[in-house]
Amino acid sequence: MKRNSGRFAKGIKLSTVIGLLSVFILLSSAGIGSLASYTNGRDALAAQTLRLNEYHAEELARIGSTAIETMQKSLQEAAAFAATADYTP
Amino acid sequence: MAQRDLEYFKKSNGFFNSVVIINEKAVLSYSAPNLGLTGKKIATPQIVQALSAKIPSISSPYVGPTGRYLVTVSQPLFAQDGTYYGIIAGSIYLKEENRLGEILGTQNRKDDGSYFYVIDESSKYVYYPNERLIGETASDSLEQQAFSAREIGLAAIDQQDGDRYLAGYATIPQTGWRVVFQTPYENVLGFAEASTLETNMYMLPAVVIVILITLYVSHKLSLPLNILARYTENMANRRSPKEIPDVDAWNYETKMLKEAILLADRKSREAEAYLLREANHDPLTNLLNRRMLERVTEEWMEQNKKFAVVFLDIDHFKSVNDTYGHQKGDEVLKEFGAVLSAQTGIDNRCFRYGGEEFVLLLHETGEKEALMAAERIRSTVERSLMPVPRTITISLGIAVRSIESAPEVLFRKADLALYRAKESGRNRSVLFD
Repeated sequence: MKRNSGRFAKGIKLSTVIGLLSVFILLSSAGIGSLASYTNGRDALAAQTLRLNEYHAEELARIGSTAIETMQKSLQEAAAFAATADYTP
Repeated sequence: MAQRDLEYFKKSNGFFNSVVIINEKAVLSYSAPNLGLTGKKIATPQIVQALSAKIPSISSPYVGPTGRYLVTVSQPLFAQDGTYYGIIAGSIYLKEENRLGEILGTQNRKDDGSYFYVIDESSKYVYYPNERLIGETASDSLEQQAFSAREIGLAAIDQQDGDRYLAGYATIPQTGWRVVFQTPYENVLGFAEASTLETNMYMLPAVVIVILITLYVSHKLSLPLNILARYTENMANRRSPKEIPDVDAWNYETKMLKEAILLADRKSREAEAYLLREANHDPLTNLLNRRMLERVTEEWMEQNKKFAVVFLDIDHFKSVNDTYGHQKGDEVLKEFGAVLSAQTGIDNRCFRYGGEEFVLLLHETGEKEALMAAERIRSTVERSLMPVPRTITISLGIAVRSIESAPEVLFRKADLALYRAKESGRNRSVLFD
């Protein structure tokens, strides 16, 4: 503290320092926590979305494949039926 | 196979938009529905290849004779004797309704913006949400590369328009088509941000409460220190209040600091009082000294008080020193000081002026009262038992303050009266007139 004309120069109050420091620590911790939470959530969500999309694509391909197989069988049966009949134009 | 049977077949399975029979010469024999091409030669490469292969096949997407973008599923026709007659082919119009389109071409609305599409081996869109792009080549080379390696898999792809997608893909083995199911990465980020925001909103009241508690505790912690700091500042500036500061010293540091400050304050006051006493008192007689005489006289004059000054001198004190020694002389002075103190009232002051000379300041005293007081003191001293085996007498000179404005003038008058008392035989009181 400097002495100035018989009075001590006023510094920052301890309560102000502690208060500001506490608020800073708390808010920065909350901010860092939020950032970490956001990053982890984003990465987990992206990984989950990728796996889910792969599953959906696989399911669609499987259903599509089944449908095509059914078409082929249907045509095969039609061709077999035609063999017993007169199908020449 | 009659036209009727073919139409029945087409209606019964629902897979195909049209079914045709094409003979081994690539001439269309029957079609359901009637495409108006009966008897005409179908020379598209896909049909020619199917006819020559003589095995079940699925064509790649192509523009048919009717101008539609389609896929043809074909089956060779053999008679029971093995004679090859051509093919029966079902066509799937990729831009029109059919059962495969219901599976691969119908999008379910999803909240996260996900959608899917199908591309063939030459990277042309077979099914796509935007129907106008069906048949177009996928323009994004990154997209093509991403799905070139494995039959199923997942990839994060950055498209040329700058958008990023999270894609899963799988292959339909019969056709080699790739089903791609993808979600805009931006939407995933949006969900993550919304989730974080929601969490923060839940945390916000707790954070506010913790901040308030912290501020309250910091205030409680620093308030005693603040009070002590103010007290110390006042103490340093000699503005220290008499009462002890009301500090709620609930923690160790504050408690110790408070005790240390109060101890320092008490020691400082004691030292100050001691030094003040040393500066204003005569160490031998313990009476006030000459410095205090001048100060008190000035104060009384400034306050325009009525008072009298009495100069006292021990008669023949040199002979006391010479006869009994200086130590005995000091003892006489000490005893004489004690007698003076005892004879001086509360409102009056008694000083050692120097050597064997003393001064009294008699408050609110006129000439008569001053002379009476001087005579009383003189006779008391004469009767007092002193440390030396002889009678000690004193001479007194009295001056009452009237219009004097300076102590020196009054002192000179009293000194002159004392001189007259000495001159007129000692052991007497003389009033200056």
